[in-house]
Amino acid sequence: MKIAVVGLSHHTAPVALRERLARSRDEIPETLETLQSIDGITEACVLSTCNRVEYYVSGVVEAESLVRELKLYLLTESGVAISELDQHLYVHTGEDCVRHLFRVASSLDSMVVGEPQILGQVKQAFQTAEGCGAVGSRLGRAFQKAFSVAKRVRTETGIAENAVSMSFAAVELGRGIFEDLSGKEVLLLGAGEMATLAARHLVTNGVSRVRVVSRTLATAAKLAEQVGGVPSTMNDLEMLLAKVDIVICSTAASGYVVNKLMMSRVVRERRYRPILFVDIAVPRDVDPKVASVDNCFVYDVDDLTSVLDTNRQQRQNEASAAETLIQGELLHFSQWSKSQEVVPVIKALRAQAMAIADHEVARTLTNMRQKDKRTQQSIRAMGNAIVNKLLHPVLTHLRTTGGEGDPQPYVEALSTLFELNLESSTEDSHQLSSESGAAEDTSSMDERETGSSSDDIEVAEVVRLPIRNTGVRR
Amino acid sequence: MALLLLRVCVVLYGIAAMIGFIQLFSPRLKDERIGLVVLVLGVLGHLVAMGVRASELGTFPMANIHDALSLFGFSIASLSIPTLASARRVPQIGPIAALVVMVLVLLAVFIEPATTVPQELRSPWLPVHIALAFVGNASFVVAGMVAGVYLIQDNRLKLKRSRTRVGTGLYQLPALELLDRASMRLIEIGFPLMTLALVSGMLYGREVWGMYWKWELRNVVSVIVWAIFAVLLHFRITIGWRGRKAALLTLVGVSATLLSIVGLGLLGFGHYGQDYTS
Repeated sequence: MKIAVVGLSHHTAPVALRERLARSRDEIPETLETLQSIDGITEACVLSTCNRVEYYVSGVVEAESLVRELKLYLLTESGVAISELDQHLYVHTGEDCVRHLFRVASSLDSMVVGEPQILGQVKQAFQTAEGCGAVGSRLGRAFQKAFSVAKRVRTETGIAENAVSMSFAAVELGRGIFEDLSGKEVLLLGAGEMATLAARHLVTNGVSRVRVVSRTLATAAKLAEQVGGVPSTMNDLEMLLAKVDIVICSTAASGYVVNKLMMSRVVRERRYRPILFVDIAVPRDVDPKVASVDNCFVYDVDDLTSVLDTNRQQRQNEASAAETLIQGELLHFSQWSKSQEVVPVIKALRAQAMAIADHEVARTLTNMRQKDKRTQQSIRAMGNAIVNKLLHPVLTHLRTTGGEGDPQPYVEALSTLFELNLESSTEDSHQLSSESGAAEDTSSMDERETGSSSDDIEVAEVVRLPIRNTGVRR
Repeated sequence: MALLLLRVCVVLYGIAAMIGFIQLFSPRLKDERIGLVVLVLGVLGHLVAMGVRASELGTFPMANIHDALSLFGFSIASLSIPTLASARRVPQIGPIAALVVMVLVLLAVFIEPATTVPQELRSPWLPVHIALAFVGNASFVVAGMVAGVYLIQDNRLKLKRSRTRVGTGLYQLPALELLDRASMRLIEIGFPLMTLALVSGMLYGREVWGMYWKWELRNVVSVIVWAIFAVLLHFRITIGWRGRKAALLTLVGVSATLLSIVGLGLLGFGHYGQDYTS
């Protein structure tokens, strides 16, 4: 596969270097254009996020020369010394490049394994490149497949389950207690930044009302404005505790703000409805003894950390399942991809042979002055049959080597021997894949995985088009 | 014939329980409905078995403890289905329900069924009383299973081990609120039925023995069961009582239920069919 990626990420490079190679969304079209103008590079896609900058390219030359060109480009663009670049850059070519793409899209390479944003960012990068006409069939196939692999990883492994951030943990803990977060009320006790973030997450997950309590009404009002809540002072605390369902504590108070005695009163007042305290204040706001009151659930910073740690561990465990899944998908993909490499040659060979046959048949028919429709038809059929029979073993061989071995020598031999014009037909195949739509592209690939014979269909599908256009079989 | 069908049901309930337990401990709870389908098949087969039994006896099939166990199992199995299949389902009770039902029906299979029902017992009050009592008690038992799941989830939240092992069916427990509501709903269904069962039982007693109430162990335990759930509902309505202690009391009530129907029945204190005349 003539495909390569050169890039750096939070694993390999400090932010100081990443930001020098990063491209803003507006700069990317220009970058893509520059990349495509480089000799040998036909396709390019740039993924630039705060954690990684990656340049995916594909072209007519070998992957190694693609990498060389790319590095040269980065060197001139960024002005970073070659020795420094080499130290931080990673390079993947061919199958490794596709594997890397799959891993990135599936969030296996992310700082927080399983985080959901990266897939959107990869999609965005692909769409931008597609919009600029910088993606052809090779990168297109790889990216489309990467999206479907990422989806499988998300749904079939537990990699994205469980909160791994403090602010999400409140939502998750709430789900263990409350059937439905909509209609619930959350109380912000104190104005910690993390607490505000947690409240926001709760609101996006359906919590209907936010109440804010602070020492003074002024600070409460200020915070309430930020999160769209109702401000109150500490005096109303007990009354509010009887109403709300989730309390996020982050005051700077030196002692406990909520104690057991208070809660045993409040619990009766609340008619024993469960209440969740997420106490991220240090020193703690909620007396740990409150947890012994029925229907009161208290989580302090350490509890949250240990929950999050276990969740992270869980994700790591699931990551190995995801790697196995990716390995399997990669195997299918590279087989399928190789079989796609021979498509232009098959197409060109067929088209050329058919053109000759058509031409000769037409000449013969004119010479014969044959008016009988049936005779005309059988002469045309003969022309087709000769082409088909002659090419059949050649095409079969190509398809099988396309799937298993290296088809390149055959492709080269055939194009030299038959003087095939591969350039134009490659263009055709690019057009074809973009016309038929990206979705179709992946769906045909999935079919290929389930049945072995659909491989042939896939090739035949592409091959049949020019025949139809010549109008031989009418 | 009826007995053979009942044996088939034991196997079906056993399979349902097995599938349920495997799914409970498997890495992911994928299609929990497979076990449910087998359970429903078991219930349908059981219904046919009881129909055949009724036609063989020529009357409502309640000749001795064999029929009582069979009917009780049937009631629990049927009542667990809404809890397993509704939108707010508690799939975790599936295997427990199937296992309990399997044990009950297995016991029934081992007990020789009586061949006749005495003429004086063919009162129209009997089927009414029995249906009310069994459906009522069975909803208490299913409520108890949900309460058990509640206690597990409550415990996990209190010990702060929430969802630490997600991916295992057992650990994807429903929210506390859902469990609480599901259990309470079943008690709310069971309680009025149980009340009517006591009333119809008294009416039936007057018809057979000429008196409303007889100081028998079986009767006393039934009233205790009723009283436990009466207390539970009373506090739920007046002060909104719920949570861990309510779940524990539900379990106490369910133990009394099982004692009254199965325990005393097997020990010969029950009064099903022929026992009534003794």
